[in-house]
Amino acid sequence: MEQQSIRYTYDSESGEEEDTEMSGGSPTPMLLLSLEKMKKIADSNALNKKLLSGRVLLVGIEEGGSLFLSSIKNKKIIGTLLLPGSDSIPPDPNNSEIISLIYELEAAPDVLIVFCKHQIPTERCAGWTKTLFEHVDVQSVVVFDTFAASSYINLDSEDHPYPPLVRILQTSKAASIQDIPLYEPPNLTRDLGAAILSHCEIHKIPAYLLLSLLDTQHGRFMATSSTLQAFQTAWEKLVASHGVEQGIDFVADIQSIFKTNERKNRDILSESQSQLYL
Amino acid sequence: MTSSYDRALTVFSPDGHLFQVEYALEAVRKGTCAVGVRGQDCVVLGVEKKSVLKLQDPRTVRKIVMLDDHICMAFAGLSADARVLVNKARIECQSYRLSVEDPVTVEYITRYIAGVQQKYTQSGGVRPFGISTLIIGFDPHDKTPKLYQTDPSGIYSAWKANAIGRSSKTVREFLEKNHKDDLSKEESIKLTVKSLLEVVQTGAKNIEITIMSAGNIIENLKVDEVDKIVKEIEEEKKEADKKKKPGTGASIQ
Repeated sequence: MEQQSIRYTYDSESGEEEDTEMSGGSPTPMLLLSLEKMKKIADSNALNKKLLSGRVLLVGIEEGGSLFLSSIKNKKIIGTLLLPGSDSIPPDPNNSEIISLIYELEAAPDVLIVFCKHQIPTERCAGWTKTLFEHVDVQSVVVFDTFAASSYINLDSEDHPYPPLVRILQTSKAASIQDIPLYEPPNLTRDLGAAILSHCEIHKIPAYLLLSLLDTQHGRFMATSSTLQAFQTAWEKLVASHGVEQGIDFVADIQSIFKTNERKNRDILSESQSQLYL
Repeated sequence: MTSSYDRALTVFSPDGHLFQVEYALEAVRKGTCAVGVRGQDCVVLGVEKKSVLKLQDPRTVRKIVMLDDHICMAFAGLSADARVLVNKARIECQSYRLSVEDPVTVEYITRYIAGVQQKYTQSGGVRPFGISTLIIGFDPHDKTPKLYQTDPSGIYSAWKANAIGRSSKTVREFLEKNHKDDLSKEESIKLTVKSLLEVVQTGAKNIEITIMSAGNIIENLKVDEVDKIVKEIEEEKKEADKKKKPGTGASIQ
């Protein structure tokens, strides 16, 4: 009886805390745009529509995806997605823990790039995605994410997977890409990648989720040049199939921008390659 | 259970395992893939190369090495262990030549390498070599191509085609489906490249091919030659896909 009363006591306390939190509402992410961008939007009399619009939205998630997209040259910051719990306004761009920077390509302003280097908690992913798409109107989405070999199940082969290895998931509106293998069941994607893809599926936006395998070095999972190489290869195959009906319409300058960054990617991460094993 | 029996090389586990040898096989799987294909009158070695670092001399990072004029070897696993084993094998080849006044046979040097590897599984204070090897060549005065494989346990055997290193199981399954006896030189090379393309996603720039023909003729294909073969394979694959799909090419998933 004493144990029961103690347990109920704890239960009622924790319930009150939860009720308070729910009634107060969890803080939602905020989108902040640069003055220059706001001025452009005001000048174009597009204040009634969504703040940002474009043809393609590229999203880089955590270490691998954001690293790949961060190497794109000639992009400029146009805004920030401020995550809950942050009191810093204006946001400090050096603090990647709380912000997701939004860029546009200088050569092609209708290509938007978002990446966040830190892991967004699972319970916040839906809110982050909702806030992003409330203010961003795009025709298609490509998400760059990574996965670890320890969580990957390949029923067709007993071989341990090694990078570079890439898999794809897509919404039903997106055309299938034959050259990139599917992220096959029973594997599940989760967190931000899953949230974005689900949102795009519900709102009938063609979207691709590219998943590249993380490398293992000294017992840690990390993105190396092999991980980025897989993204590069998958990107080229995605671009090559742009002529498919209902597919994503990529322009040539995106291709050239990624190509010029191929060498930079190799330089940045080549030091981490181990030649212990040949 | 394994923790009690996996630290000392010379101790069997109750169920008959030598865990250090099995761990050495895991080290082999960390190396990139190497493939050997035996044709009618040639034998081909293909390897997946790792990209060299920016300031590194690529000639000093090799996965295919010569043991003698008529014998070639590819390895997968710890590169430092490979260097030591290759040096021992090269000395043995020359010692044999000087003693017997004849070059070694492929089987002899394979047996020697496997014997060294086995010795290091049965001595105290040492560990097994963390490499598997594919050895190709022609015996003196013989035009029959030979392909052998050794592994850290000291086992060796002759093969028509085999693969070692990462994703070797996938490649071996591909070879089992596609290999046939009496392959011509072009067919052997193409099969080697095709099997590597199953696991190498980056294309010709990370593939190295060495062909050995009778009369000690050794060819190392250049990158553009490998690229040409890769393109031919991709074209053939596209043609085969087109033939499979009727009409406009819509696929059912």
